[in-house]
Amino acid sequence: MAINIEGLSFHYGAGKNAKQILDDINLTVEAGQITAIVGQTGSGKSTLVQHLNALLLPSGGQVVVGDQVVTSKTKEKALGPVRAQVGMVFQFPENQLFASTVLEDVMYGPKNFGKNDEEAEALAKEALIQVGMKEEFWQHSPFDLSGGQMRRVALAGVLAMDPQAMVFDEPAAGLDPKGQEELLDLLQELKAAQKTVVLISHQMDQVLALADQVVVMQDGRVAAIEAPDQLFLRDRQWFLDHALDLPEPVAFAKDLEDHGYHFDHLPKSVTDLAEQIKCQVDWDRVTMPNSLTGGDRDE
Amino acid sequence: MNNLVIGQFIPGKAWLYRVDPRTKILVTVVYVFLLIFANTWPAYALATLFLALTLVLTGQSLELYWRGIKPVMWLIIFTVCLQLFFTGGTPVLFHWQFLKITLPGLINALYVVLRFVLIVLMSTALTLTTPPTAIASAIESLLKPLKAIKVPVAELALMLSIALRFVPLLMLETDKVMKAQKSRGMSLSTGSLIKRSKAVLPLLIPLFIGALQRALDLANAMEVRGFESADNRTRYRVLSFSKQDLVAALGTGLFVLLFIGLLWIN
Repeated sequence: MAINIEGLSFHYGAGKNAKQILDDINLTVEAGQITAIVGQTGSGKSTLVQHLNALLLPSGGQVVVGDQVVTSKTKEKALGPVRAQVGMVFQFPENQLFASTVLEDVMYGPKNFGKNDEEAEALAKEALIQVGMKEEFWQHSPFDLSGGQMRRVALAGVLAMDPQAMVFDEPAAGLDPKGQEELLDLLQELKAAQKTVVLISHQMDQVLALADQVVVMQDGRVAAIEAPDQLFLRDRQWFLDHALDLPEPVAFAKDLEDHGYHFDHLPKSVTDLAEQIKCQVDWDRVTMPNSLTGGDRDE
Repeated sequence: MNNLVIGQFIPGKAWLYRVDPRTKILVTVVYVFLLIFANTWPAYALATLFLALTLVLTGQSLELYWRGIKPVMWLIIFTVCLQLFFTGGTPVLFHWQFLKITLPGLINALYVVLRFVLIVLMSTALTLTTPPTAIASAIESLLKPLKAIKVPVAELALMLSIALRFVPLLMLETDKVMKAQKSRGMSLSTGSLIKRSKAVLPLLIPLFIGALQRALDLANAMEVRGFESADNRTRYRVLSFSKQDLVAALGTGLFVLLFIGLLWIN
């Protein structure tokens, strides 16, 4: 399910005290793809994604979610279907847990969106398995779990709604490396299941590895919409101007390019980078330390 | 939520910002107390004049105060209606079925509006020019005499300033949890009354848990930094009376004398 944002503007307050947050945003979140939204703090990323499931209504322009149009005049009652189709995972989602058991908490979303108890329970169980929560925890109180487990339960709470699209606001914040990896796997699973994924991230390595499309925000406007291998071809100054980091492999490749190396395509990962460097090294000029060549140590 | 002017502090450099918070609190208390006795037009005129002077000394725009009054408008209108329609006496100005408006009722209603607006604006001027922490330490300083009868003034003041600090945090947190639960289909505006009050639980429980967690964190943070007792602590900002306070005290003294004089003549 694609989401179209057409001429969206948003401001707090009214009259001359109004504070413009978003200004004339036009973009399409393609169905079945992963769209990453990047930009420095205060550039309007979070405000933008809150329009995707109608938590905020546009001050001007419109957001088209599937076949539903959301404008400034849309009534509260009409927003339910939009929210059922677009799941939203906030930063530190474990703060939304409330029920007395894990299973009940995960069932909350589906029940709100009109599923009966049995259907909701089936969906909840499926979601809990998907995030790797073992059955032994299902009847525990969510508040007895560890931080990482709470995060999984919260994620399951949104997955169980079985939305067509899912929005993640810095989902990896505060996770250990293993947790981050699992999360990235989950995002790819969602994509494989034809879901539309929107992701706010500060970690450019993730963006490069995952995203099909990158939206760069600056001062409430869209500064660029490009595929990551296009975007990261831009020169360093552009990234400085937009207060963005480069992915580590790309930054390394650019450093080498300054010293005469040439890369056919952007290295997508450290392994990719290493492969491309290997082809270019003049091995005759390289003297390897003994420890690497397996040379004689007794010498 | 952030549009509320009453109780909000707006940084500034005008004269009233330099007055000691204790002076400002005392003046506000005296002013509100005197207003209770105001029952003549000259008295109200004097009080209005004093307020106008105070507002000018805050250096903020009048529009801001207008925004401050707006949220309490309905409360004012409600009280006015009570006064207007349910005060007896003669002469009767207007009569329709069981509703009647009398001259004393009309005058009373106008008094009430004036008193209300004056009190609200005066307290707004206080909180607008005084940071919450300054108010807390001023209250501590003013309550010091109660220490003689074993009231834990320092602890109370500490609790007050912590509570004040937590208000904006809790508001932010409410907004976050509300959005998270709305995304999961929470609706507070549909269904029967029982259903609606049940719907608040998913909002309240995370809020309470978050607040308790924060309180524990704060207690730990205070302990590791060696906090033992709120008594006899030194301060970063020491309160001190200065020339402005003398001027403010003299001005208020003059106002009090004139006001009492007016009441006495009556």
